[in-house]
Amino acid sequence: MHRLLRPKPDRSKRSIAEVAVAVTVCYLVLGLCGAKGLARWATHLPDGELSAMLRALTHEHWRNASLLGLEQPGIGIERWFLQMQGAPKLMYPRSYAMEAAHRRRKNEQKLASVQASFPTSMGMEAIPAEFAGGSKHGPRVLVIGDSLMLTVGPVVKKDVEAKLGGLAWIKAKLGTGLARPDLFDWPVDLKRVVTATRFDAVVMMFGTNDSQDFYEEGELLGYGTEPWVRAYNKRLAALMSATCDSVQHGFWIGMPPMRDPVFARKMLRINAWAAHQVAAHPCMQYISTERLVGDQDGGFADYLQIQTHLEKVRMLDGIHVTAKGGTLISATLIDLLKGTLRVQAMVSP
Amino acid sequence: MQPPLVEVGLLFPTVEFAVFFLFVFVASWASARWPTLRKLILLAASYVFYGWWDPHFCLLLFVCTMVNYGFGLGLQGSRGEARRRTITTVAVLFNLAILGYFKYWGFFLSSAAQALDALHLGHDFKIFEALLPVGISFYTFQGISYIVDIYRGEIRAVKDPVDMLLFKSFFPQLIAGPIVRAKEFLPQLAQSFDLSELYATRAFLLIAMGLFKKVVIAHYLAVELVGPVFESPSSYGTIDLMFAAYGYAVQIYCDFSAYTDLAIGVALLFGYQFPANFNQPYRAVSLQDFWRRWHISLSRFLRDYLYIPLGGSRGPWWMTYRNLLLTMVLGGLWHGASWTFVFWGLLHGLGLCLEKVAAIPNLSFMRWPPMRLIRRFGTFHFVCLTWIFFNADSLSSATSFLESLGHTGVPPKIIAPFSLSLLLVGLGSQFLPANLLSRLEAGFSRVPLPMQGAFTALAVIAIVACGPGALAPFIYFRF
Repeated sequence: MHRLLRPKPDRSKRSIAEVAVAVTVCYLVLGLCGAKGLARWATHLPDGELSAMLRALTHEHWRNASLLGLEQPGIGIERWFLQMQGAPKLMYPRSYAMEAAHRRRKNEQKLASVQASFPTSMGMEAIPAEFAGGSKHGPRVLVIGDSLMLTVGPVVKKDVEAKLGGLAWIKAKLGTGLARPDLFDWPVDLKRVVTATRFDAVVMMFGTNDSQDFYEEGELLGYGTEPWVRAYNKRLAALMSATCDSVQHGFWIGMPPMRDPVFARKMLRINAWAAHQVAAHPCMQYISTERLVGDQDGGFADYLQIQTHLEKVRMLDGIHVTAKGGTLISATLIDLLKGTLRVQAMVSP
Repeated sequence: MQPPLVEVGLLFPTVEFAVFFLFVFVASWASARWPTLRKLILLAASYVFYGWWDPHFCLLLFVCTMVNYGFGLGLQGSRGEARRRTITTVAVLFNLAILGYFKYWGFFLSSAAQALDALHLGHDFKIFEALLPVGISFYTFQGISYIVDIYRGEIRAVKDPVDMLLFKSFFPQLIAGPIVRAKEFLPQLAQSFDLSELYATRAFLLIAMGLFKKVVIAHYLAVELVGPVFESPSSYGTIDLMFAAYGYAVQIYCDFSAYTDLAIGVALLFGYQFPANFNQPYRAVSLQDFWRRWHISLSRFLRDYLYIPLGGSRGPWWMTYRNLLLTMVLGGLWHGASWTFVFWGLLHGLGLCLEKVAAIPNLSFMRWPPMRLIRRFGTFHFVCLTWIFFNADSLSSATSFLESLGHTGVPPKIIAPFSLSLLLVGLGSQFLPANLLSRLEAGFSRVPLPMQGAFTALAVIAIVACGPGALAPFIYFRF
C-alpha cells in the first residue's frame, strides 16, 4: 500500500553524473562505429604536423575498427541508402585490407575496359607542329573535354579537316572536368594554350566527372549544395572567359542523356548551368545533344533510327557515345562552325 | 542586394562541433559548483563558436551587447516617463541601425539607384559591401526585446555583465535562433543549478531528430529536387514545378526546425531550456494558425514588439489591416535585403487581411471536419505559393517559375521515387500526433541512460551514413 502511494519518479529529469556517463557512452560508440567517418574527416584537415599525426591515428583506428567489424551496421545502412537513391552499388568488403584490394582490382578492371574502347588521353602534350605556324588556310579549332570528348573529338577533328579544310587539335583527358582541378586544371590550361596559339574556335565538352564534392578555397563543398553550385558556376565562367578573352567563338557541347536516371538528372543540371553561363558569354554558343543522340523527348536511347537503319549511338556504359553518335553531334557543330565562320569571312575586309 | 555571407563556420552536424561540444560540456559541468566560472566558460565557448565564422564579428557582438547592457541599466535607473521613453527609443534605434547598416544599406542604395535610373536620373552610388555578420538579425532582435521588456516593467535590467554577455551570445541559439527573450533566459542564469534535473532524454531525441531532418530530408530534397528546378524553372513542366514547390516547403521546414531542434537539444544538455519554435506548421487551418506554428519566436516578437505597439487590432478596421500589412512586410524584410522577401511578407499580410475580412476562422461551418481539411489544403498551398517568392533569386525568377507552372505538356523529368518519399516523410511528420515527442520521451526514458547515449550514437551513425560528404549551411544562417 505504502509503495503504491509513493509518487512515480520523474524519469525525464536526470542527474549530471548520469548524463555525463551517457554522453561518454555516446562518444565512445560514435568513435568506434564511425571510425571511417573520422578517418575521412582527418584527410580533409589542412596540412601540418598535428593533422598528419591525426590522419595516421584515425587511419589506424579505422583499420582496427573495420577488422573488428564495428563499422558493418553503418556500411550496411549507407549501402541501402545509396541503393534507394538509385546510385550504383558500393561494394564494401568485410575488412579494410579486403576493401583496398577490391577497389584496386575494380579500378584496374575499369581502366582496362575503358582503355580497350578509347585512349585515356589525347593531345595533352605540347602544341602539335601544324599549329605552330600560321600557314594553313581554314579554321583552327581547339577541341577540349573529358572522356566524352575522347569519343566525339576524333569525329570532330576529321570533319573540321574534311568539311572545313581546317585544323583541329583534340586535347582531352579521361576522368577530368571542372570539379577536380587537382587532377587537371582546365581553365588555367585553356588560358595558357589560347594565349600561346591562335585559334578561331574552341569546342568544349565537360560534365561527366563533375557531380562530386570538391574543395574550394580549402573548404569541402557538398555536391549540389548552394555553395557548390556557386563555385561550379564560377569555374564554368572562368573556362568560358578564358575562351572569350582570346578566341572569337566558343562552343559548349551539352551532356547527352544518360541511361542511369540519377546520373541523367545530374547531367541535366550541369547542362542548365552551362547554358546559363553560355548566355552570359557573348562568344559562346550552346549545342544541346539531348535530341541529337537521344529519343524524341530528349531521353536516353541506345539505338536511333537513321534513315532506314537502326544505328547504335551509345556505348555499353550508357554514358559515352559511339562514333556514330559522335558523327551526329559533329554534324551540328560543323554546321554552326560553317555559319559562324562564313559570316566572319563576309564581314572581315 | 543581400550582403555577402561568410560561409565557413562551426556547423552543428560536423566532427568539429562534436569535439568542440565535448570540451565545453566537460568544462562547464566540471565547474557547475562555481556558477560564475561556469558562465565564463560558456561565454568563452560562445565567442569561440562565433569567432569561428570571423573573429571580427565578435567585436561587433560584444559592443552591441555592452551598449544594450548600458541602456538597460540607464533605463532601470531613470524615473520620468519621458526620459524612459527616450532611452528606449534610442536603444531600439541603435539596434535597428546596426542591423540596417550591415544588412540593408546596400539594398537601399541599390534600390534607390535603380529607381533613379528608371526616372533617367541615374546616380552612381558607391555601394559599401560589408560582410553580413551571421546571426545579426537574431541578436539585434534580442537586444530590442531586452530593452522593451525593461521599459514595460516585465524584467529588471541585468546587473552582472557576464549574464548579459552570455544571454546575447549563448552559442546554441546565437546563429539562427530561436529568438530567446531575456525573461525566458536570464532567470535561468540567475538560479542555482539543480544537478539532478537535466532533460537528457529529450535532448538526445531532439539531436537525433534534428540531424535526420537536416542531413537526410533537407539536404537531399535541396540537391535532388528543389535546387535544379528553381535554378531553371523554364526547363521543367507543371508536375516538376509543383513538386519542387512542395519540396521547398518541406526542405525549409526540415532545415530550420532541424537547427532549432539541435539548438534546444544542445542547450538542454547544458541545463538551459529554450522555447519551442515550430509546431507542425503545415497542418495549420488558416494563415493566422500557420503563424502560431511557424518560427514561433519570430511571430511572437513581431506581435509583441511591432504589431501591438502599432496599435494591433484596437483601432478602426483600416488601421488593423495597415498594422497587419506593415508587420508582415517588415517581417519579410527581416529575412533578407531583397524585394522577394518583401513580396513574400506582403503576400502573407494580404492573406491575413483577407482572412480577417472574411472572418473565416469564426464561421461555424468552417469547423466542420471536411471543411477543416479544405482549409488546411488551401493554407498549405497558399504558403507554398509564397515560398516560391521566398526562394527565388529575384521577382522575375519567381514570375518565371509561376509562368512555367503552365507548361502542362512537358513530361516530368526530375521527380524520382527517392525525392518523392522524402517529401512524403517530411509532410507526413506534420500529421503525426502533436504529443509524439513527449510520448517518445516517456518511452525512451525507461531505457537506462547510458543505453540512451549508445542508441543516440547509433542513430547519428545511421543518419551520417545516409548523409552526403559535406553539408550546406542552414538556410536561416543568411538571415
